[in-house]
Amino acid sequence: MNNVSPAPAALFRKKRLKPYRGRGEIYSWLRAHHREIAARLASGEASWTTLCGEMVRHGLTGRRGESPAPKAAPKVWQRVCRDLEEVTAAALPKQRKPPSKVSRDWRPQLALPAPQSSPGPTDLDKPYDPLERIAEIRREVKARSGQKE
Amino acid sequence: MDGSIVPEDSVADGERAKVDLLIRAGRGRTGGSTGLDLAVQRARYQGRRVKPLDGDLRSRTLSSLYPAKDDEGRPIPDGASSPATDELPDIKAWLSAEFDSMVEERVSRVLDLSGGDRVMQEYVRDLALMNFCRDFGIDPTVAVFLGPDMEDFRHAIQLLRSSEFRCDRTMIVLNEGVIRHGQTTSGAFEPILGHPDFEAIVRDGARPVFLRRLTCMATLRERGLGFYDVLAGKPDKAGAKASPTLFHMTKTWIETFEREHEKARVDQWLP
Repeated sequence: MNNVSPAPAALFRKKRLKPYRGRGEIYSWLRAHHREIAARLASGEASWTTLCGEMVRHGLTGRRGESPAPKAAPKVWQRVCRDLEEVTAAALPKQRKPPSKVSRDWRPQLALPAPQSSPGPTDLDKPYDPLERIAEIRREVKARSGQKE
Repeated sequence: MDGSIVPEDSVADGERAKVDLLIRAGRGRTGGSTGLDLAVQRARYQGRRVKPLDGDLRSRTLSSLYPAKDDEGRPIPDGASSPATDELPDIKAWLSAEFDSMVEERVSRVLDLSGGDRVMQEYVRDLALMNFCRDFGIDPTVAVFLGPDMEDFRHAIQLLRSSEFRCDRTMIVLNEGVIRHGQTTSGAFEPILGHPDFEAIVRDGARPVFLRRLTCMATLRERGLGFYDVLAGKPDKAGAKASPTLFHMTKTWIETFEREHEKARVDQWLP
């Protein structure tokens, strides 16, 4: 029996792309799908050839109308990653002074709990946890009923 | 020797688009048709084609929202399709024809068979629907809608435990929009959320999603405004745009819907 395996389905769903000043469609697309692309590249599930094929399927072209190319796309990707790092870094608390710059009179405060507002990984970065999902909905349901936890 | 189960011409096209089949399961009166309507509007707003399949001949919600023909009898692209009668053979023939078109056209479908789980179970068994979808590159999702009724919940559990409805992508939608007047959200859903069977099916892979109530939904329907029409600033039948409060409520509701689906990691399951 010679089973014909189906051709792979499209890798990424079409999304409405957000324009970025001075950047083209390929940048917007890579940024819109950043999380999935990073995961697929890391797992070896996607290569730049397949990603460019996907971009073509989504009707993307470069700023001069050229087709996405496996050689050029990684450079745009690096730019996307760099920009996203900057966005994340901007949200982080400012760096502390190096020890050499700290006053001699400085004494540590009593141990305090870590600030709750410091940006850690978002919920979407964590692996999916079915029980936590139920807990999340329970919290939402209680909040919608005006109940405290 | 070509003994392939899948016809070659149906799978050879590597350029084909992603096709989703969203099947609403569970009992009626749980807001499933509205959920499917939202999925259709969302997909179209985002530029994807979806065709509604309305097997709920009693309420005909999708058929009235997405008529197949205009006032002059001209066909409307991607209008809803429905079976000739609610007799089992007619429904099965209609499903077969629609699934054939779905494979050929590569256009996603949403399927509403309100209370028609028995039909679907039989059909799923006859066709081996999940295998059919896999072979033809279609991604099926079963969405079970729940209101506050524990009978509906028990029915859903039975359904999800049956072998016919086993689907890798199963959502359980807890729909706040259908809870009874005077009942709190917690009073409605806590018995379900705390039920060991609920935890078991969620552990087994079903993804729970909480769908908030949109208090102005009836107003939007009366005015003939879609959820995404409001976002896009489209006028209603009388030519009036949604007021700022209506716009804000709808926008907040859609944003919450998106966040909730992302948290449940099911946003990619929608057509």
